[in-house]
Amino acid sequence: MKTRVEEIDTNIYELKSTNTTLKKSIGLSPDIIKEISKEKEEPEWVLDLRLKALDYFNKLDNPNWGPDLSMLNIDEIATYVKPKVDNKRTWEEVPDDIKNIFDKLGIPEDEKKSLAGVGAQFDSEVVYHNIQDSLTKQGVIYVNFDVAIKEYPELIKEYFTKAVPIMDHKYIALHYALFSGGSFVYIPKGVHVDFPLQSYFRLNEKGAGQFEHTLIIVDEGATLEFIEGCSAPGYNELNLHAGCVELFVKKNAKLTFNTIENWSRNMLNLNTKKCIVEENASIDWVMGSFGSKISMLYPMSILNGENASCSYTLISFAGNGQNLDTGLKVIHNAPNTKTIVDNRSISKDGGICTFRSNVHIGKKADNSKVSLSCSSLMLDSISKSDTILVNTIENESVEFSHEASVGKISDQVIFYLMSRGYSEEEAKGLIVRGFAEPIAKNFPVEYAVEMNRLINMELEGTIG
Amino acid sequence: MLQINNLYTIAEDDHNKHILNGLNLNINPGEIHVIMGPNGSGKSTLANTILNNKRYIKTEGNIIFDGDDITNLSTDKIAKKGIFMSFQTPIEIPGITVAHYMKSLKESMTGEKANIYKLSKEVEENMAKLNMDKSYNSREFNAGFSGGEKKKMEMLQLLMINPKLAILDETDSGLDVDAIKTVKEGIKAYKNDTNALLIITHSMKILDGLDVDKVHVLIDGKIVDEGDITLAEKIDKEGYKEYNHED
Amino acid sequence: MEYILNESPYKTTNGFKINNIKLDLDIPEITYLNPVNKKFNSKIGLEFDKYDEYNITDDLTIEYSNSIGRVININVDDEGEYDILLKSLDDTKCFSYIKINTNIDNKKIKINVINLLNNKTDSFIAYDNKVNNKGELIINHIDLGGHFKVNNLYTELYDNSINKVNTIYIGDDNKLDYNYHIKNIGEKTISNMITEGILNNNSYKQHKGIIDFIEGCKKSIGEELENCILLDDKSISRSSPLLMCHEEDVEGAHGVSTGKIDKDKLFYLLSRGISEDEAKKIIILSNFNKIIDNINNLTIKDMVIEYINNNI
Repeated sequence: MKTRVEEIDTNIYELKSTNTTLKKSIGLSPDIIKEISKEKEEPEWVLDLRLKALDYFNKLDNPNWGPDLSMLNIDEIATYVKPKVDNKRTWEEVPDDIKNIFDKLGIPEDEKKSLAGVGAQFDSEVVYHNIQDSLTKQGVIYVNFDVAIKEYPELIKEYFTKAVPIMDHKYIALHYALFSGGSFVYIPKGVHVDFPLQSYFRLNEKGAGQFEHTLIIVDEGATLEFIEGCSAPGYNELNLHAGCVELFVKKNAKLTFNTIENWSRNMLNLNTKKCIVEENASIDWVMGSFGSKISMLYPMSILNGENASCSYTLISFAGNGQNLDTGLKVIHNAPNTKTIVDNRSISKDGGICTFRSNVHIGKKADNSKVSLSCSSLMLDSISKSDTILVNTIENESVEFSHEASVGKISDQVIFYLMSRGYSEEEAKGLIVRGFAEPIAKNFPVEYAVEMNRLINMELEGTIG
Repeated sequence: MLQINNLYTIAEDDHNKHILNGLNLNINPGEIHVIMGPNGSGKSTLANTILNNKRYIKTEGNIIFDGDDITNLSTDKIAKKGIFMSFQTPIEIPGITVAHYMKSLKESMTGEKANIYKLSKEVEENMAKLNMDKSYNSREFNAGFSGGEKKKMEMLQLLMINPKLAILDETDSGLDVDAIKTVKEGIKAYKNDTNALLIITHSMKILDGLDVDKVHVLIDGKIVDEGDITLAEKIDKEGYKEYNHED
Repeated sequence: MEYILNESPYKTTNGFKINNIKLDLDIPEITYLNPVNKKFNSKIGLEFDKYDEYNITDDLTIEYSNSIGRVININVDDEGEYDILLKSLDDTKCFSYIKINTNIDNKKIKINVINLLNNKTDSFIAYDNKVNNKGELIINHIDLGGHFKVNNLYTELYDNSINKVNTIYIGDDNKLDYNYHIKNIGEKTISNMITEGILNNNSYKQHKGIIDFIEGCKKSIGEELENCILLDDKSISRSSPLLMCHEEDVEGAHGVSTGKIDKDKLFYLLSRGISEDEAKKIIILSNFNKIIDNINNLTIKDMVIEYINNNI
């Protein structure tokens, strides 16, 4: 008998729509890149950058560690998929079959309720972008990244590729060769955005790649919470996501970056995220990884200014056939900088969770503090959970502490709960949710609900 | 003996709020002073600040001891000048025996090599005053000790060091009967006409039978009231309502 | 010549710099054994083709002088406690390579290796262990002297067996490398690594500790703790704890703390009039004594404590 903890609608992620595509390119070549660039009417320097990146992609090798990526054949990936719609500012203008999907995902509803602005990307292009007028009046910019290249060339030239260089690794080179869509956000000095901005990425086309670029600048003394959501319906063909996020948090500014990732199980998610943090500023990463076949994702924070800080609140849940390789990298470059990490991973049904963390405390980072904690829960013996950490400390005035643990749900705890009338399955569900709770509570309410729904979906298979 | 003038402090990790807010205090030889105050009023901070714990930063005012300015003196030098602080939660040093610790303590205080025979005799005499068994000598310092046993180790060090001024940080309201008894035995063995005592406490029990000279009430980092032992008795009954404070 | 040491059994991004640890090493001629080939074994580091062989049944002191190089293979078979002492008799640069092998079946063996070599001598120590059938192996690795210090440990644990590895190190203008890998293979096995150390004077330490739960090692426990105190601004501490878990029914944990001496402990001792240097010494000794207490031979124990007292 199957125990259902809660009624779940698993179908919403599986919505597919056909006949939404206007144009599609398959494979990778200088000609395809030139065509994409032409389609986007880009300035010359952007095309040059794309071609240079293509060069790096061809030269660089696949990583010799972590999940095996040899299954990926870029010549079979739809590298550019243009939906039949231009960037709209109202939902009414978005074509019905695309709108239908975002409606089911609850995006416009959330916008009305609790968001300061919303962007929605469908395959390679952004189909909708809107922001509250009051914020526009304060000088807040929130636009499609392609639009930003044309409308804010100075800001783009100053920041684009400055956090994540094009040759960082093979798949970031691929990203820069093919980048399309994504968001550009600029929060002017001293502006506090009270409600989150949200970008939602939907990959609909089978066998397609998504390469959106997100660039966020939070200027001095400003604050922002940004939410990123991703999903795709399941196909048999391999899909590829190689996005890039570049974040700049200026003096006294504060940024919270939330991600809920629920790509379908045929997705290779090779995402790159980096944040540069200045004096007295902070970045808080909150990340839930549930989907994809393979994920390789290690958000990096570079603490460049005195008193800069970063925090990571992470959860991954790997089920059957999933290899979620996540982690982080932090560089402490200045005095009194701080890092706090809470990572939790759950593996079941042969899923693999690997957590890699690399924290470097340099000579200049006097009195810096690092507190790292990671715990893994194994729900069966065919799953794997690996924790790989490297901590380098070059300064004697540092306080560094780290704790990690791995194990199963204790029989004693199950026994206790069963003695209080819970079934074994209910007890396990309760404990897994409890395990995830500290992470869930860091998400905005709607997303915490979403996360619980995802956990329930994941558990459904086991608990029965 | 001890003079604290207009002292302001902040915490090392929170520069925004003053914990001591212009505190003044004057203690003469032979006297027993008591500081009472609700939670968070700055009681423990005061003891730590006198000993110049780096967790607290003094932003204004000074501390004079025996005519010398000790405001920014390092903790070990302040201790050598004759101020002792008994900790609310003493540390544990596993792997180091009490005997080894006492030797380091004595050698640091006197600046010369300790005579092992004389030292162990002195330790044993003081242990006897506190009803402690000699076997403590071979145990690891405070490692796995009960709260009461740790208190005994604090009192033993008080007697070994025999300071001019002893500050007893007894803000822990959960002190059990045994611990209170130990502290009283320690005070009895230590106190004479020339040295002084500053007791920071929540509870009257510890003051019972002591010849208290002055009671100070500390609220929000400032002394707001002073009096004799009757003031302490009043607070014990009525709390801090009179000072517009809930606790 | 540059050698690649400790090729990691589990690779990670090259930026972590733990996949292949390289060391520029000057190996002197081995005076009474000429190795034909030098090669490296991924499990336990540097290997030679020929060794001085010992099957020890008692304590062993190995002495170095006159720029000697020694390559020694030690087999420990009988139940008991063994002290292996490495000592320099002069201050010439020697080369020491000690390989210690155990194959334990339902026995209890304790090995205390004490490195008191001079600060010019390079020291390699490699343990290769197999513990089976309720066997128990305790290693107290007291790594005080030496110049380059490279230490490898590889243990396979089967059927109710135990391996505890306790390490103390002092880095004083040294390069130190620890590469420990314990595999919990059988059911109800226990692995435990505790490492306590201090770094001073431009020292560089790399500590890689792998707890490896293999599928099927039900009810096993693995624990790793590392504590490093940095005494100067020029030393570098790198620690990479790896916890590999391929079995559900286990308990694994690791913890690392690095940095300066605990502020509260220091303040307590200072408040008793103890000077800062002396206070630090007490705290360090306190950390070390937990491990030193495992040595039963009092002469050796005193020798270790005296060395620490004189060298920190």
